[in-house]
Amino acid sequence: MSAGAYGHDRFKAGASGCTYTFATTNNVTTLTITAGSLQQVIEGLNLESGTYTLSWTGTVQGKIGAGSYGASGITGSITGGTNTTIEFNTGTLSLPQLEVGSTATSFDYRPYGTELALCQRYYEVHGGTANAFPQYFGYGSNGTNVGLALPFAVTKRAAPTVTALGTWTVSNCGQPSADSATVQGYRLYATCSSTNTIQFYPASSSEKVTISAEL
Amino acid sequence: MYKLTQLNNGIIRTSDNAWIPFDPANTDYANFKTAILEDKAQLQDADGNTMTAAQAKQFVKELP
Repeated sequence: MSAGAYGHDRFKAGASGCTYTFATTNNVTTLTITAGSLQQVIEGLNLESGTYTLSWTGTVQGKIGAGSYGASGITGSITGGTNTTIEFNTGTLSLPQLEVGSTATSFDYRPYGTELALCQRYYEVHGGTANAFPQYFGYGSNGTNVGLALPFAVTKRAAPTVTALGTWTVSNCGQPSADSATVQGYRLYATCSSTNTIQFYPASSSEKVTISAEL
Repeated sequence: MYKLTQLNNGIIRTSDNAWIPFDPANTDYANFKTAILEDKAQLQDADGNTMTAAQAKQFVKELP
């Protein structure tokens, strides 16, 4: 991945990019980082001032903020309210955890739905399934816009960037565009090319809207 | 390249047609402002006319 590109669970490539493979055994995913580094920005809203401990299973070394790389259980000082980056270099990595205090405790297993909702504060995808949603059908006048006001599954950290991707299946309208996003939702619309029944929906897994409020 | 929208409530990043809000907490918006102010990108008005660097910078300076 190039620098800043995202991979698993809000982790993105560090300044030099990142190359990694992954495998899942008994529901635990292990990343094998062979080049570069992998990092995650922790939102300051979730941090208080004090000592934090970063722990994981595997051979990578990790660091907190501007600190030095070290083995699992490394500690660092964090300023409350300030976005802070944790980063891992090459090796194997699973079950990473950042927690308050100077002692690493056992990994906190959280429900899948909880983890998904936590991710969706920063990123969400609508669509990506052929002939499914988001889908508009109705009647429109030539030259006017028709569309949908769509809520997010989770309120976003900030008003997000929204991008309609792919070539959608359309009837009597142009390709849909996404805009006017707030932390709660956005607008997906198309311009009618005739006065007629209007329809647009994803043609394949490539047609989707990405919604990013990443740090 | 970036482009203003008819609604004037955000900008379009023309490379991927992404719509970016005028929200200082949005990192793409911060990147847009930096790119314009450092002469690393151009800005078009809603009609597709490319602004001069000075016009684009003045516009960005008036944004939140």
